[in-house]
Amino acid sequence: MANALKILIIDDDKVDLVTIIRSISHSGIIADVESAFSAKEGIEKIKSIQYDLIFLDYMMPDSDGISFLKKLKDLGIETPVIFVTSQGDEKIASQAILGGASDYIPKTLLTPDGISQSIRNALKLSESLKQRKKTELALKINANRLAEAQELAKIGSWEINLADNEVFFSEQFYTIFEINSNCQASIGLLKSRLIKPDDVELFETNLNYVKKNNSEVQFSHILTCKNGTIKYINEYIKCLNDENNEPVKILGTIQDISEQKNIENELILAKELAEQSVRVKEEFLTNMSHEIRTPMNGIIGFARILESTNLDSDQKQSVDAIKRASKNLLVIINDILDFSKIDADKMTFEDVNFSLSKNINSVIELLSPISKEKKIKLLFEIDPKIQDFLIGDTTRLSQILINLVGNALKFTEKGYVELIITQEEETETETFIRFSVVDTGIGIAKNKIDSIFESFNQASHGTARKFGGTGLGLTITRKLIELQGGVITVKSEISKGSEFSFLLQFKKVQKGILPIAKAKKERLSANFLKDTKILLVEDNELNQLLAIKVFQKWEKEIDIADNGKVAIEKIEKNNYDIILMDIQMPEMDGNELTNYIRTNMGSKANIPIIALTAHATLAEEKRSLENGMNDYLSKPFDFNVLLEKLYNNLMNVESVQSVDLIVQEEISEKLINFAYLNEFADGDPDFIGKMVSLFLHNAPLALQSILESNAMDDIKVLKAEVHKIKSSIGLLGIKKASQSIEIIENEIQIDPLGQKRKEEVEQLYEICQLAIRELETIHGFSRLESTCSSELD
Amino acid sequence: MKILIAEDDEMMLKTMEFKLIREGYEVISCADGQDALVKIVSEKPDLILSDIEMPFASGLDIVNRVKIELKLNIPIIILSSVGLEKTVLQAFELGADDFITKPFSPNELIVRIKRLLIKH
Repeated sequence: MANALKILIIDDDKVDLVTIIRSISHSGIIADVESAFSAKEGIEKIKSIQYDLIFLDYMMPDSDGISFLKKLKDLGIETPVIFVTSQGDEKIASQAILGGASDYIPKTLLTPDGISQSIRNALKLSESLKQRKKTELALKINANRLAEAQELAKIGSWEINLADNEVFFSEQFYTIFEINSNCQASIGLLKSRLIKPDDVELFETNLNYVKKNNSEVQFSHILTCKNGTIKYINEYIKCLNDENNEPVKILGTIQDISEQKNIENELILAKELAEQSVRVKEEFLTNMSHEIRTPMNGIIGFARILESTNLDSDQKQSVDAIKRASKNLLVIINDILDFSKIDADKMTFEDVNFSLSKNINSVIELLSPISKEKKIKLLFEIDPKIQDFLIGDTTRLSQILINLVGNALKFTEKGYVELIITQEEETETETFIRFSVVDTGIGIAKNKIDSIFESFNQASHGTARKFGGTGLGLTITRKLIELQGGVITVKSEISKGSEFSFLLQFKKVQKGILPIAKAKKERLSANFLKDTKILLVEDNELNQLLAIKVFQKWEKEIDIADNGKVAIEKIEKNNYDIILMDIQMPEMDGNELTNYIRTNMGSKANIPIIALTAHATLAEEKRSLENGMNDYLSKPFDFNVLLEKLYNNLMNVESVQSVDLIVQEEISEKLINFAYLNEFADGDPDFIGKMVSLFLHNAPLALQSILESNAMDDIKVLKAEVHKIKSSIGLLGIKKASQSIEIIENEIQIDPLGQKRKEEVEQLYEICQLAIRELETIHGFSRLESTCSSELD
Repeated sequence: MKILIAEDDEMMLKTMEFKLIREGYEVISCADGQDALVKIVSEKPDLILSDIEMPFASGLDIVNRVKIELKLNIPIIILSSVGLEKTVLQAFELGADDFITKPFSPNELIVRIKRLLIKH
């Protein structure tokens, strides 16, 4: 059952009142009717009770209907009101309806039917009004929300109704384009808001495109504001279709992206600044390295010259100290250079053929003076499974090992430091080698292990003071390992020792291609310089003086040019056989000068030129070779290397020969002569085969032992091992090796700890390695090895 | 005829062994001095070929043991090499019978062995 309608009847005429009440009750409408006899009383009632409908006598003594409606409106009351009019009031009443009344009913029509009709109409109307208001409110809220969102996002929108070309702009549209909000939206205004003709054209093209292709498009442009600033605008245009896929509307949004754009610009600026400062830093480092290397070249060079004069022991000590200090300084400079290269992602690695054992030996040899001084054992062990000839960056490997082993020695006071090299995995073409450096040193606390790899960090600041160093070594080492795809791990225990270990991958030198075997040359005599004319182009006086001294040692005078201009004059006047040229010179640098000589000096254009430079980088080397120089020497240079390079270039020796060629040469020399062994064998080839296998089986170990004892200066073991292998070498007729052994044995007698012994052992090692290769490659005995040796065992 | 060879270079040892066997001798091979000292007593060789420098016991030790301590009448040929002339003289003083310097011709070795075996 429907709720009873609450109806209020305001009428001063009791007859009318009763008529209305009666009609309502007869109309079938269930209603709860109240009455008031004056407008005032009615208002009071309305204020306290919410009515569904009000009947109002249009003409009340204290108020007319219009005023009453106004009062209700002021009170915010929306209850529908039906006027009850007398004859002749209809005109006014109908006006009142326009003013908000729901209906009017003439007193003559106050019948149950009339009343019922009227009530129903009024309620219907009121309901629809309420609905409309609700919808309007919702719409308004949505519109407000949209406007707010647009304002926040700085997005404006517009649309064109294609049916009638009606145009709509959102509020933000006006704001973004700084158009007065009173301006009527129109297609013309839509276009003219763009100031630049190009942009107008762009907009038109896009608009037409969207319309024509029924699609959407996005573009951006800039806009100069009234105050002169620039806005960046993103526009988006889209065509809206009806259900038949026919275009109905074109929608557009515009977004002011100035803020993002400004941030973007700032970021770009910041990035450029950062890049520039990195460049400045790099340049600074490169220049510094040059600036430091040039005088260092002088210091080390003169110390060497001084060393070769007659010195008493005090003086010799001082010269040694100078050499040591300057070498340390060089290490530091190199560290800093490496660090900056790694920092700038400019570290590159070479792939060169090298002998692992030789590399390890040179590392051990380099560091053995430190171990001897500290009375610590320096041991090493190479897994015999590892193929000795590998491809990789031997220089960087040495650097890593020198750093780790050097560190271990630095932080070990007693006991030993051991370098253990094992093969973890092997494929046809590659080998994975683990390098472990174990020491019995001070160890590293667990919580410090991670930080030792950070730049400028040692386990404690006190450590730095006690042990010295830049604090970059381990950072560089780790980076060098990581850049080659390895990982370094550390195990350590305080006061027990540490183990640094890393795994690197190397390519194996394929059989038949052997590395450039630099069988140590006899120390080159400087005689070949006798009839040559040499020009040095160098602006630094110290370096000039040093060069003069060096050549004096070789009893050779050289010409010197301070700069490019003088050099060109001298070259024109004289017939030089070779030019040594500094790269970094004021005015005309070495590269420019070379270029000039190569292109403008006719018959003299092809004089060999050796570049001298303090920029110790591979890139620099490449650049000077690309620039037409014949060779390259990095300062501070080894005098013997200089002599070698002079020899190579003057004698037109191809210093970089193809690998195969060298192998052939080495082999064509034939180290081995089976004649002697054959005397014993009486021509029995089986026996010779067995002996060769035996040698191949035993020699590597023996040679290893020889190298080790040599590096450790363990003369007793060295002597025994050399003696032991001597007979085998004699049997195989490796004359060169026999001669070498003779020299070694002689040296052991007269100067057991001398340099000559050391070098000679290395030479013996190299000869034997070549002999082993010769046995393996030429006679193909390697495959017999296992079977024969087991027979012999 | 039994010949004992004491030589620490395996290849040299095998080579001499090969040659001597071809010549019809019975060979006792010893890879170091200590081994030789034991086998001299147990195997009673007719002749000893001994390297000078060996681990554990040297050629001099062998000569001393055989000639002075055990007073055995076994001829000993010292295998010497260049630079060890002084040691060879010491060996002679202790009673060594002959010496030959490496690298030696195998035929010379055989001749020296035969000569000594005839003498004894």
